[in-house]
Amino acid sequence: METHKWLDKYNAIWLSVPAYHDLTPENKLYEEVSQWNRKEMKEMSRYMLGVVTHSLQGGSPAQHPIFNRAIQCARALLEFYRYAPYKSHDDATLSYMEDALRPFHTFKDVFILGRAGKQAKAKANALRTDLVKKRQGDEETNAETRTPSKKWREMNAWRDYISHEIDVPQQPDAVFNFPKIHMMSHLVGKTNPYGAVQQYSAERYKEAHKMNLKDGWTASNHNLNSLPQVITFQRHILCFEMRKLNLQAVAKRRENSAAACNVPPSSADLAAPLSSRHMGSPKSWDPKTAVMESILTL
Amino acid sequence: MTIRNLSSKIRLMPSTHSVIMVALLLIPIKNSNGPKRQLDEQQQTNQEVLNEVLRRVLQPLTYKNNPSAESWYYNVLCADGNFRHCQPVLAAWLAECPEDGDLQFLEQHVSFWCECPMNVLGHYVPPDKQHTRWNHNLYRTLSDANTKAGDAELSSRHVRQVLNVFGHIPCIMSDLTKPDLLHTMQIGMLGHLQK
Repeated sequence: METHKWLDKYNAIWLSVPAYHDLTPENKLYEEVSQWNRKEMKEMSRYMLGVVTHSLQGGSPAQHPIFNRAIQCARALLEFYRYAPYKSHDDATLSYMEDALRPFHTFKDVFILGRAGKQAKAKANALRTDLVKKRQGDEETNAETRTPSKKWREMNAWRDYISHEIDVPQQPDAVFNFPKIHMMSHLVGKTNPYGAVQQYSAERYKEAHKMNLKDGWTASNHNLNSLPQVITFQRHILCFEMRKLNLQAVAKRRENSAAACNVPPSSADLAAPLSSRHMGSPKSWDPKTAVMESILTL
Repeated sequence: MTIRNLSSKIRLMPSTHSVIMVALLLIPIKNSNGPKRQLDEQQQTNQEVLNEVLRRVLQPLTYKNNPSAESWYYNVLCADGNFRHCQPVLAAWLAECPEDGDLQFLEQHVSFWCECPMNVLGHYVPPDKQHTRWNHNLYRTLSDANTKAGDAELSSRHVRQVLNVFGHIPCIMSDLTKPDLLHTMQIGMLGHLQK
């Protein structure tokens, strides 16, 4: 978007996405978000293809094939992502993932400018500066002889020419050889022996960082010996919860035994002599009292 | 740390305390603007600290402390006071790419699931034509041999020569790292797409 000077349009469409049901779009400009978290990424993946497709409508004839490739690449990656977190997979869903991954690799070259290294970017910027100076010189020379419409056409032609020229030196330095893009090709193969990928997601462990570490640090005395306190904090909470569950189980067991004692007497029992009967009603049993008793006995 | 034979529904629920902290790694200094030599030294120190922490955590499971571990079982004291033959298997390690590389003692910017050359990492690889997996038994043999040819072989395969605690417990190291959805797709590829 930035290369083709369409970032403003993209931002406007980005902000115009309405909230719907459980979807809460971003209320900031795309450039203003410094770091994306997991939930934002998940929600963004639901409407990003629509935003990209709508943003890339129009443009010059030279830009149409580039924009189409960009849309197809984004669609393939988002499709792959939407299949990946399934809780269970079969051969059909795995084949859908493979089918989505193939076009992504076919069309990913359209984003090669985004992978440009520092040296390639510096070269491209220098070349852009030279070409813009050359264009300005050409405009000044022929300013009097050209009509406004011809000036407009010349401007568009120059813009396409500059975009094409600065692509060339960046390509040898800009490649997609980084591990994460290769790991996608292993996701399908790893699902067969180890099950759905979602159970191995590190989201839960990221959340546990707050519960295990930050809460422990808040509860500690922040002194030199605070680290052991942080480590044992969650263990203490866990011990109390286990004790609570044990007591609830004991109370439930006693409740069941008390209910068994409350069986109404049969006619044979009532016919028996009074002296042989059990005197007095069974003691009424209260679960709260039982829990307190069990706490005192433990 | 968590337990494998929990259902994913229970394990992914924060209120079930299915993830327990067993150790706290020191927080390394983050100074990316320093000289390269200093950064390399810091990185080396971080890796050594990680290895030492893992060694201390996993020490009770090593062959040295548990001779029966050679047969992949341990005599474990259970909650009812009885000892039982158990087979605990260290099954998964979830982290970002650099930490997975540290775990397997691989160089940076390589795939930690297969010996894919670095210059073709971005190419599409069909499932039936995947590259060979990392053979850590071979690397341990080459490292123990301590010969020039072995060192050259390890360097060509982007493997570092460091004592690895996972070589002393019953586990298959190349199976430890599992596909991490968060770092591979959500923060990883979707982040790249946004940029």
